[in-house]
Amino acid sequence: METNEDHERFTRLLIEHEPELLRCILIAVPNRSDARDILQECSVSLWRKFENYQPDRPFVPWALGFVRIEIRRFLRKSAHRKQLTERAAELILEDQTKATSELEHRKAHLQECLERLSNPQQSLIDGYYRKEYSVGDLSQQTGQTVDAIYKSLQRIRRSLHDCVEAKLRGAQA
Amino acid sequence: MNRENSEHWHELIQRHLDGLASDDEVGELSEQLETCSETRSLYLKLQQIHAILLSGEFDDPPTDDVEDSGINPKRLQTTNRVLLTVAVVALIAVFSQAFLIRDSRNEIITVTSVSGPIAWTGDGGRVTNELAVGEKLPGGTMELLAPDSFVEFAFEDQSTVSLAGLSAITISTEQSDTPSKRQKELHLRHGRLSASVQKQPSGRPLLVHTPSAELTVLGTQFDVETVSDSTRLTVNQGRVRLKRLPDGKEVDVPAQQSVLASLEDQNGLSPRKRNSPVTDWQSDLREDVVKGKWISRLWGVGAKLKMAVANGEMTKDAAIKAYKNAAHFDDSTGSVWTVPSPVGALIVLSPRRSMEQPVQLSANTRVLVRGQAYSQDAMQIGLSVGYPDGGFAGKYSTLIPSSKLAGGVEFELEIPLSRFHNKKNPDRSPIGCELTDWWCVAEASAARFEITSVELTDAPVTEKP
Repeated sequence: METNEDHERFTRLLIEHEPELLRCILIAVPNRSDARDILQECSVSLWRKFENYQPDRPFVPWALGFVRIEIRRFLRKSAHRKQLTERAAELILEDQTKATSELEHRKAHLQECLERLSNPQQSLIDGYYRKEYSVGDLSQQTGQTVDAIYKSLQRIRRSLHDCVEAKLRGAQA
Repeated sequence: MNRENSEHWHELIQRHLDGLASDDEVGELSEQLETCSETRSLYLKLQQIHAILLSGEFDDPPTDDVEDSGINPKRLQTTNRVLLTVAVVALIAVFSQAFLIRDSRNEIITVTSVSGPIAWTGDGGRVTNELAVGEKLPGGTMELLAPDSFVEFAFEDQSTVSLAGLSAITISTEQSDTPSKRQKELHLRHGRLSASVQKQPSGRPLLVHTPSAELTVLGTQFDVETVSDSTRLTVNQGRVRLKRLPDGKEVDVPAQQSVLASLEDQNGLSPRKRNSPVTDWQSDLREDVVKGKWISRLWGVGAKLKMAVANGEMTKDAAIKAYKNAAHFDDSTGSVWTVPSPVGALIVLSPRRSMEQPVQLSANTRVLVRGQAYSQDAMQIGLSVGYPDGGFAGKYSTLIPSSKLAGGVEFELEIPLSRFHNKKNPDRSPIGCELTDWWCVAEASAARFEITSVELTDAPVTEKP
């Protein structure tokens, strides 16, 4: 039987850890809209089973079990829709679990690397990710071809990747 | 992984993360990820960048709380348009390819009735949105784009198939010089099909494939409804064999019985006698939604409060308190929002998803709809109905003027059945028919409606004190 205290505790935990859960879903399901749907289903499952949650244990690892179930369910349902196989998704999630200790460093480095981008590059990333413009929208706004915009996006992300890796290697050295 | 390989996977992973990789490319990537830990490592690194940017963790606090409540119309519109385009393009690509290597010369069906928007992709990739009665078609894919779309076609042996509402089907026959001996195959991707099948040649039953089942038909009348993970078969005459995928379990379904084959529930697969109809229906919005965006109350309230905290309008503690007071944590409560579609902003609900009994319409039936409008648009509310002994009986609709749906104001509509009209057959009555779909549509794709309750009742109206 859930109580008001349970409600409050669950709400706090969900609000606090939602970005981590969303990030984990995006690993296997990169489409933001699909990932949000999965998170919604997941939050319902989490609430249903919240009485089983042990408050002295960390919330995220417990919640990630439910996230995986919902991801698996989604992938099975949408097997016809250009998704990774369940096996590939499982392996990536397993690898990701092993690499969590590095994540906070990566985030910090990524923020620094983003700041080093030129203004047009920052504007492109901002348009694509934060304002959620499509490549077509960005092409119309800038007068560049769709292909040129997409190539630029790929190059920027490649440079962000290289920058983060270089910073990680530097820190380790 | 050598440099050339690395470039290849870099590009393919990015294309996958952007949703641009083809089926073949995603298959290739999956295979590589299953076998190569180095590629998985690269995938994770690129994906982390993508996910952190997508999850908005570096964003400035947003200024528009509607935009960030998870129901941003632009976001929904864009996502759905992109998905629809990708799906249609993929479908066209896959099936035009498939039919190029099949029987590309012969016409195998004749359209006998058609209404509403329908996309047809036939041999060699011929695409048309204008099917006409009497038109003869080869194998291909038919997609019904609106809740009131309808098509009926006949094979050469006079077996007829009809589809209604949002449905997609691929039609093919094997190659044979004798048309009557060709084996017919239907792939029902989603939606509802009703068929009346003549006795088929020995050893060549008509096959109906769905994502969750395969039906073998020798000669009978039956209805099939399929969604991504389940198929419901109702046999009206004769007998149909159903094989559940993927466990291969088979069952023969006799007349007046139905069976549900589900990918989720792999337990029993027993036909059941059709239930007696009821005349009242209260929609279970979460279960019944066919088209539309279901948002749980838990999610909707949480998202709005979260944004209020991010905007500095509330403290975290105050938001949590407000959330606790507002939400009852009943995860089945919520509402359904219109989503853009080629025919406008749309919601479709099917009572068959949550009800075992059919819902029968009577002369006293009233339709009660509650919700909220977020734009000043007129809305058409419709009912799709079927005959109690199988087959589609028609579409009935009524127009709610925009004056009754003021933007930002909650509405409550009570509409008697007599207000619903069949545009194609104005004299036909829905009384005695069974409800298959409830739908509402606004012409403008950007129109936004939230439906919080849909009910059908024939109980007498009680006087309000």
